Amino acid sequence: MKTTLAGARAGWLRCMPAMLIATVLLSGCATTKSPDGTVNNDPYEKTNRQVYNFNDSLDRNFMRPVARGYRHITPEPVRDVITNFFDNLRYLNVVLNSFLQGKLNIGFSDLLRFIINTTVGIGGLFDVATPMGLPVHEEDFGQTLAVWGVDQGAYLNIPLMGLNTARNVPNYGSSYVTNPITYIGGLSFLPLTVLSLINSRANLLDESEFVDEASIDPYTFTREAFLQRRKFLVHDGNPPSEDYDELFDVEAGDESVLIIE
Amino acid sequence: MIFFTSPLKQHLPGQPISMLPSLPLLLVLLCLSGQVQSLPDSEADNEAANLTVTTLHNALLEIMQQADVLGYDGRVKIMQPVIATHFNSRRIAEVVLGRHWAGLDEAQQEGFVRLFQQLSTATYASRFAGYDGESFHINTTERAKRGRLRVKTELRRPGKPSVTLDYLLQPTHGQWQIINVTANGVSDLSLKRAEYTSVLKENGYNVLRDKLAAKVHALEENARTMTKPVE
Repeated sequence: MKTTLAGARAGWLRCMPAMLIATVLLSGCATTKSPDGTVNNDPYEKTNRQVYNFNDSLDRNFMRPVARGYRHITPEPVRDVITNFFDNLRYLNVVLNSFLQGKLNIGFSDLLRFIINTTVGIGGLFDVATPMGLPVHEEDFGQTLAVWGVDQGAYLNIPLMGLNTARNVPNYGSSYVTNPITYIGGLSFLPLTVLSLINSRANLLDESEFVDEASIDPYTFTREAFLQRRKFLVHDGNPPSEDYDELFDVEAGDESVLIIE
Repeated sequence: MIFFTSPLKQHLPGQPISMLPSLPLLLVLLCLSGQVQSLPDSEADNEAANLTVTTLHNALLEIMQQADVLGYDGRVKIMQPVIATHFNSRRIAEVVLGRHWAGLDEAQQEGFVRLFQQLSTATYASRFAGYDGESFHINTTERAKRGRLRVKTELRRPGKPSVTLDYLLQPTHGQWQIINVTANGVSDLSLKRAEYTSVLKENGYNVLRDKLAAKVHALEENARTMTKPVE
């Protein structure tokens, strides 16, 4: 299972064109236009709902109980340190995508953040960079493709992986190749990955309880919230909020759903 | 109105906030005394819209800081008049139900608006049930389309990333009322519209009404068991 860094890099470079082509193809066929011109961003709703129910059932019966147990036995400061550690390892994907989007200042700030947290922050256990004026950013390959002009594509529910858009699917690849855990061979790879998953799930327990509490149709609720959140990230926290105002301009007879591109 | 954020149910110190209620009162007195009328129209509108948002924020701070003392019912009592006065619930209900709104008779429309207000109140009262040093800040007030105003604010949380809260307001009978809240880019109204129209399409109005009533009931039950008022 041991993979060399150079080998993986070469593999990644080989994969890039395929990933891009796949994205463009997916995006191209992913949204459908109805006769009145409105875009359906969930053309696979029937399948998505089935996958959503499968993932939800798995989550309720397995992941949530495990995450609750983990949260119960792990003190919050310890969980914070573990979260910092894995966030730092994942941060190279942010660094890469900041540069790929041409945000040089942010890219260098992110790179410096990674270096400082890895060294001064003892392998990323402590976030010492934020108080130093190097804030955390959220960038991924889906956002990079958005900046490059690729359409969002269809909303997808992927078995075991959760929610995504067609445009953001290649981010699985870029996250994988930029995460140092990928290159750790032998016995420590599996427990680290498992801990990372459980810790991430534990950090989202409040959010899933919120969905249970607030929604009357959890599938639609999570889809809308997810797509709006993606738009928010693509626009670096400053999406054109005018889009939402248009809901007030439609007549009472119109039921068009707000389109998030 | 709901916020897609982590719950704010931290420790509940319940310290007094004697200064907070006096601020909106002061601004109201200022308006009454005619001082604001001397401002140019747009500036006066901005002030009025900001006042609406500030009143909501102050009420939220009050229920957060006094969560324990008030209990769930006390928090509802504070939020109810604020939501009734400062949100245009009828306009929101119309937009949320889309074409189905016109299909309801008058009694059903009234019933839905009432239910929607109850849900908003219950959501605020159950989500803002603790205080951990949070504070609200108005950043900018901008003109939006069709004479509306957008008040951009943020909820600062010590040790956590702040949450951006953007309010869209429109003037109704001379008063600026909130018609949408967008939290960290997630528009409450468009989320509810997608959800409700999906239920309406599949199951019809009565099922939607029952689901919403059950949701209000569940929020009440849950919040009441979590925080009991201090005797």
